[in-house]
Amino acid sequence: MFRALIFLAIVFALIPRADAQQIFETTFKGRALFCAVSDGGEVVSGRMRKGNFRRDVALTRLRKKVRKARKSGDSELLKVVKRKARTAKARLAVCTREFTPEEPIPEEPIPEEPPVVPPGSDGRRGNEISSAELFSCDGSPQPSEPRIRRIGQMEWAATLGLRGTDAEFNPLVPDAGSQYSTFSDGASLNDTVLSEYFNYLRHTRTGWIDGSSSSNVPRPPEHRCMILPAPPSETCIRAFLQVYLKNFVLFREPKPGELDRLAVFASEAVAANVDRSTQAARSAVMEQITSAAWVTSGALFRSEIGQGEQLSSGETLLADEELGKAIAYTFTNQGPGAPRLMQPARVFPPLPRVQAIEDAVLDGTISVPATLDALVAANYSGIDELRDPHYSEYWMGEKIEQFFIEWLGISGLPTSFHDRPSATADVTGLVRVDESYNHMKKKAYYGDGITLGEQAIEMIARIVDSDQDVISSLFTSRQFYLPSNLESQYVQSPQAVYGVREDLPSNREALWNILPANERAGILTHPAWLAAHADNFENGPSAILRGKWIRENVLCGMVPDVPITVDASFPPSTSHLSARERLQLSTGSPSCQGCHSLMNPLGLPFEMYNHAGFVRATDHGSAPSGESTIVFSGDDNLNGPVVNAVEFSERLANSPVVEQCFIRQVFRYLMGRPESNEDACTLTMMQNVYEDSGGSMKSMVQALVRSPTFTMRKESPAEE
Amino acid sequence: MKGSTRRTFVKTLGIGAASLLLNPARFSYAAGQAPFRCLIMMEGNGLIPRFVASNATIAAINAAGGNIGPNDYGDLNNRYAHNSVLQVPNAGLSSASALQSLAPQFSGDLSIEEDTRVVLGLSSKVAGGGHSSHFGALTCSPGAARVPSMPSVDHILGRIPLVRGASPFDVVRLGIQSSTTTPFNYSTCASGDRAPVPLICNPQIAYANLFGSVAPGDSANVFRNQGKLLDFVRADVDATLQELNGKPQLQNKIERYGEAVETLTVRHQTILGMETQLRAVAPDGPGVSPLYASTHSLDHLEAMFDLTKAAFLGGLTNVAVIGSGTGGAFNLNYDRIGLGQIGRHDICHANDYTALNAITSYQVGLVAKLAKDLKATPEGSGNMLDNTVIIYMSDNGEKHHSNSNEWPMLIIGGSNHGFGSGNRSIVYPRVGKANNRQVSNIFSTLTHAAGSGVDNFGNDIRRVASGPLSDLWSA
Repeated sequence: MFRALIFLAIVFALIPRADAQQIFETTFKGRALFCAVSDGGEVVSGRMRKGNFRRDVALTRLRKKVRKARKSGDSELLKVVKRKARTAKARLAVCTREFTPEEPIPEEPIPEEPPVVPPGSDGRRGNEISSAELFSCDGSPQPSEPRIRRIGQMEWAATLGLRGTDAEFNPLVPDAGSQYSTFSDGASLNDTVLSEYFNYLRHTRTGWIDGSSSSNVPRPPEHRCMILPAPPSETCIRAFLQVYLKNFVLFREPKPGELDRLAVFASEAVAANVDRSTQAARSAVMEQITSAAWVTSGALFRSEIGQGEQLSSGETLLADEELGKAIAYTFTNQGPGAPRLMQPARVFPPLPRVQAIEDAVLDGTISVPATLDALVAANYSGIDELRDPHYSEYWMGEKIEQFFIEWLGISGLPTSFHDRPSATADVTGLVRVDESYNHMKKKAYYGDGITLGEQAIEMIARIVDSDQDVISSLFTSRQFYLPSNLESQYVQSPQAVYGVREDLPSNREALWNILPANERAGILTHPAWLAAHADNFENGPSAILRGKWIRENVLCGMVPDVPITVDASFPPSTSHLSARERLQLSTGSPSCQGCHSLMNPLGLPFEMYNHAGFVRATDHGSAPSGESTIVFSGDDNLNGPVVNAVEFSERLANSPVVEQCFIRQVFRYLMGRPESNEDACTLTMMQNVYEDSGGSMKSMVQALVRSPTFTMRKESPAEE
Repeated sequence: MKGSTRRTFVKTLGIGAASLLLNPARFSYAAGQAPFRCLIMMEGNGLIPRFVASNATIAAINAAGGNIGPNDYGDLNNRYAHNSVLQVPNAGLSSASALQSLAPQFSGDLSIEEDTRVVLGLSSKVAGGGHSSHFGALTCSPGAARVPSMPSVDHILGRIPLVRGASPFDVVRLGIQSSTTTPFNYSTCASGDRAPVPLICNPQIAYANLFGSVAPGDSANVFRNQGKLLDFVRADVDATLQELNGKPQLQNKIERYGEAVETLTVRHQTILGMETQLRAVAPDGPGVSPLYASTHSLDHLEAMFDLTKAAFLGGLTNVAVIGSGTGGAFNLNYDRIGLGQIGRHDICHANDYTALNAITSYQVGLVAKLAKDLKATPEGSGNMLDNTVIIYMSDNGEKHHSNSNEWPMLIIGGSNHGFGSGNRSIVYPRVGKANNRQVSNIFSTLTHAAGSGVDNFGNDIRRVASGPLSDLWSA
């Protein structure tokens, strides 16, 4: 390598002074030989030393010298110059032999814009790829792979109109290893899931078993003849199934085969149950029919194959019906055109927004960019003063809200356990603090009051709806939505976890609070996040849990699994050892720090709070400390010492690494899959839109939905 | 359409053929090979160790330096002083306040005292504490409500071919919870990461699933209709695969769905083929037994025990779980056994140990009755209890607000699978000591006994030791 570099340097030094257009190197008697080639492709010289090559330097001059020596009769001189001439001739022969003329390069027209080739997928996904690698594309977003997606747990329950019931616990959970509930890569049904799913099919009859209106499921006129004592005719059965499948199950026109098969099944079910004298008997038949509709692959799986127009490049657009369902299930839990079902109080605004998706499919405007923007906006966020007064006036679309719940990992709060929640905090003068805290985590104990997790969501909803510098605000906002302490006899001091001692009436004006600048800044200082990522005990290893979460979900980094040979244990709990001190004893050794240096420094700033999210007043005989030195963040401005979680959060808010990771999380949840290298241009585009729009997350999401990554599919590979 | 051999097989499988080919596990093991059965009965919200510690056991603990007083009901293991495992043979187990039902209860009743071991001192800090560890109890991994991260031990056992045999159900999971109208409990068992599998808490659904094929009335209709649904969905899957012909990567998910349908179809056919033996063991069901129409949780619990016993006897499964108020749904009303309308939560906060002992004693009584019925049923050269391991444990450890320091257990039966002599207590040193052992070791022991050993069960970052507990095999 070194010799080659020297040669290149030599060659480049020679080129400006050489007459020859090309010089190449070969060997002659074991030494380097430099050969010169003329413009016409003729080898003109071969020299053992670098120098100024000229056409006749070597052989022509020597031939002249031979002639001159012959004339002079100087035999010794003739002998020398003849030898030199032979050598020069031999060198030239070697150069000629070694010279390979280059193929002429045909001229190509210069394209108006250079073609952009996105990085190819190399099998790595999600956090296996660095943000630096992903956000370096200057090309265009690319289409996704065609796919079939299984309906999700909440989507099934909500589409049946059964939010808030045990239908939500149906077995259609994401496949193992999925970061988000929307991930669908491997999701199918195995026998365990299908076996349990059969138990849930009884829910499908809700609203369809009789003529009552108590279920809030508005039924079409075609339903009437199915529930009368007289057996329904074939015409009645087909008319009902046409409407039922289209508007309540498939959210598209049923294919002839689908309708025919179900009609046969329904006719047989009717014929096998001749006794229709009781409502129970008629209901049993309807249960069979509706259950059959909900075990079809059309009901359980939706297509994102790209059944629309095929482009000349071979890629295909999602058909309007595919796009409509994709939009509906990306932003809501229901199929397009499913506004007919009842909705719980926390789904805002009323569901005609979902009807708008079906309307756009029917009138053919669904793929128009302006329509897509409008549909996203309608299902994104807003202000509704008529909301349940326990909640704030800000709402988020249900999948946007669910994204934040899943990203922040706060869904397990209601069943999490925190031993003595107020331990190490100053709650003197307040009553039933621990009991209030524990009850506040659970809806069941808190009546209509707003739970701890919901308080975090209200805070986020305001930031999301303001839609300015959203990411930065998430990490710095001090405007929190607090719980009222005048709602429940069991929950007398719920506000204590925020360090607030004053009574808080149940009205929005009282519940929006700016918390002290030295105590809270952003969502990572919210008690809901702090409690969700904590040990059961205040002196436990919460810093590890919080640090690992930040490493993986805020920085999009990775932490190796605990080696099987490691016997990870925390030193025994004592009254004089703080969590920080126990952590140092447990993980301070160099062998532990290999992994723990990726976690502990990111979690230690939050040791100013206890495991439940209270600000510590004391910490086992010392003043509470949130000091840490951030390392390996991937951002020099983020690395370095911080005094506490407030300063750390403010640094996170200003870090491009954090911004990029958040964009990646949004992409994953909404696309229902982890990102790969092939998504680099899409992610870069999202970041550009976000930054150009002053930090508008909505604009960023709209850009994603308009992009080929969302609306277009690659050509399906042919069967091998 | 890519038809599979198995699907074709199912389509052409007659009931008689199913009866011949897919006989229940109890009758299909190779000569000399004992079937392996396991029942895990879980008491939600704490099992107080004192209730299962016999007089001789307490005396042995104290003789080894312990300090258990007459009224110590709290963290018993805090009072253990021994540093190595303490074996207490001839422990007189039925002298424990909640274990009297191990002894004969009436003339002619069997004793299972000599089939029972009490294990104290096991910890499982990884499962977490509190009211319930949810999935943590049976997965030995960090658990939160409805978000398991590992398969539970019942799922692992049920998937072992030698355990499953030809039984139609890999696992039967039943239970009760504080709400008698909520049919499923999704917080105890799991088939994998984020894949909870429910306990069926509605006895009518449980009956229809297990014995609908031989039941009259609605239960029979439910079972028959499920068969029709399976036929319908097979045709639908075939048509969908035809539409996706030429796109194998898109067919994949539908193929997997089709395979699940096939598996359930085989199960359905198998159950139909077991008609004779199921009729012989099927308990009285809805419409006959008052337990099914009752609004009392404890009636439902007794129905679940009936169904589990019958499922074992009929060869429907070899692995079962029964939960009583697990996964946080523990606030049951024990009015049926004379404890009034007060819920378990308030009983615990009132420190009413007499009532709590009565609850444990009642549940142990149900377990003991089932065990005695199995013991009375000949199998091979012994009886069914010899081939059945029954574990009675809690879903969160040692008390109402547990710290997961101690998970007392009863291990009944299983003598043909290596479990050593009964009427014995095995007391491990308390948590934090070198010879403390964990719940994961018990489950590792189970998998070894079942012929497919897992040495590092669960995901315990605080694992003390790998592998099974030899102390249970010996003596």
